[in-house]
Amino acid sequence: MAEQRYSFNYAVFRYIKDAKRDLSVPVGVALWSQDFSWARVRFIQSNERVPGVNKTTDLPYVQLVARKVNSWLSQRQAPYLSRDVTPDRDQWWQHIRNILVHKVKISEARSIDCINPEKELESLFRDVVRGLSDQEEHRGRIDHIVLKCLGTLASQFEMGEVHGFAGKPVKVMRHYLGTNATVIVEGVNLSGENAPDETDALVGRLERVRANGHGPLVDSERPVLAVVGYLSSPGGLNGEAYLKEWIEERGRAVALDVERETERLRTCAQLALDQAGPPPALMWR
Amino acid sequence: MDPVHKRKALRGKLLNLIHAYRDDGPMAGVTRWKPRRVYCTNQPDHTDQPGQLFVVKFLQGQPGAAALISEVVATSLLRFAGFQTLDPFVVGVSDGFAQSCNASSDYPYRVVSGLHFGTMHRDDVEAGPPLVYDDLAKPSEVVELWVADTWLSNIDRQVDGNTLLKVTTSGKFRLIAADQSDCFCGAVSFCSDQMERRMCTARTAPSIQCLAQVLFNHGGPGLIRTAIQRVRSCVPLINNVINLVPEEWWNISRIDPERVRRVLENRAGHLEQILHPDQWEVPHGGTALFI
Repeated sequence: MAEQRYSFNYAVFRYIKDAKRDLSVPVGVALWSQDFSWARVRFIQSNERVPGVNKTTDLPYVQLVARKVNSWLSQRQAPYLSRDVTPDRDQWWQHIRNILVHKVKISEARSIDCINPEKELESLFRDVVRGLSDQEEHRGRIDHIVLKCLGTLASQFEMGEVHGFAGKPVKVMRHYLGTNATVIVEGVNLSGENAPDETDALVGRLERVRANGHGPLVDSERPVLAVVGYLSSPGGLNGEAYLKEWIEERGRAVALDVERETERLRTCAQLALDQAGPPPALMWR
Repeated sequence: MDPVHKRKALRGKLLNLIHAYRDDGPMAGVTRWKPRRVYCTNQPDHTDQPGQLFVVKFLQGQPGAAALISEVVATSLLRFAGFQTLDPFVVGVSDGFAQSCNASSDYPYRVVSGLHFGTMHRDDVEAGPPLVYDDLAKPSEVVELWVADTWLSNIDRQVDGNTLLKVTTSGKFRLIAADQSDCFCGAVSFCSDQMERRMCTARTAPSIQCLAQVLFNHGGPGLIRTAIQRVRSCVPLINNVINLVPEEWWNISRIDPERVRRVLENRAGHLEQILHPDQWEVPHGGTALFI
């Protein structure tokens, strides 16, 4: 039987940076459904950084409006509005649009195919306000953890792309180009819902980098040394050990737990750097 | 100089005349007078276009004219008393601009050519009232404004948008008295025969939240008495302020300016009896509030 779907709408709260030039920054989202009798908002919080929102001059206005809107939602009442109109209706949000006319404004209602509103509200916020997809956010978090594990070694690695199959670029988390080899440092969350897909993507990237000598117009192959930091379930690998093995076997990488094997991960990265040798430019001096 | 010219000269000094040039859409479509955002110029021929953005309250019949008088008189008195308000202006509307507005379905009322009321638009504020005491950069402003509103018999200070909030370096907010159209017991009452009687019997004005907390935390009776003195210092200026109001607004509203002067002087003299500062004399007030 097909699962029941409800009709949802959303709107975006924007902080007006410059009214004359119509410059604004998204600072929150509202999601509601009359069918589902549900309405929530999510604004930026003081511990979250959003480009363009200054903590001293801008954030107090956003927080003021966030508290007001939340208070209207909890009382199910807004200024100048009849009590018959509830927050789960488009009419309520159209009215809020007429009230918020100063530093924080709200967009018109927009359609969305929402299945899980709680999750959707957070995803919408990440996507619209912070400009990150779920995957990008996870990747950003793992990148941060892996870099923390590397400690001072992190400065030797660069962000960006390396050459892969057919000489085409492959985006990797961090890389180091030595005289003898290329070192790749990657990260993956093996405890997440999408761990198998992320693992496949990671192994695929490594395979493509390793095939850097193959394909038309490519005649030399550079050896690749890969070190992968992974996040496991709170008690250690729990049903996801096969993914680690897959990374080691098919990705030909050293895979280490970023929380339990921090020291080993750093040592392996150092060994790989030693084996890769100095950067080519240094050799020529 | 005859009285009419004297008034015009005084208005020129304290309440500048600007000229509606270009409509920029509704400002607060849900409020009673439905003000509009309008670019206004200093020159009637708009040679200094595009001018600046103003929020214009258009004159709408007899109660509308009463509301505009209330704005000019109360806003000017608040400014003389040292309160932060929006900068008030008289806005001239030409026949052409009025016709253009009336041809648009966007206007829910008829715009007449002549003089209207406007304030300079500010893009550095958010609508009040503040929700909690901790939002206030200068809590005593709540009491001072309450006392002034009581003098002016303002009936709706607590309504969303009738105060504006401007952030300070501490992240807290200063209060701006933004809407004075419902002083004198409200615009309808103001232009009725009952105005004087209602003003004589009117009690304290509604305040924004946190009044009790501010009074207990900042020495209630003393604070109220100081605010009363501040209000009374404006009494000699009442005549000047009344003279700022355009003649046509008095005519349309059928309000007698002399009665306005009388009720304001009378209420200023009775503020102690109306506000009862003594009743806030509570030992250990800060904790008494929570008991």
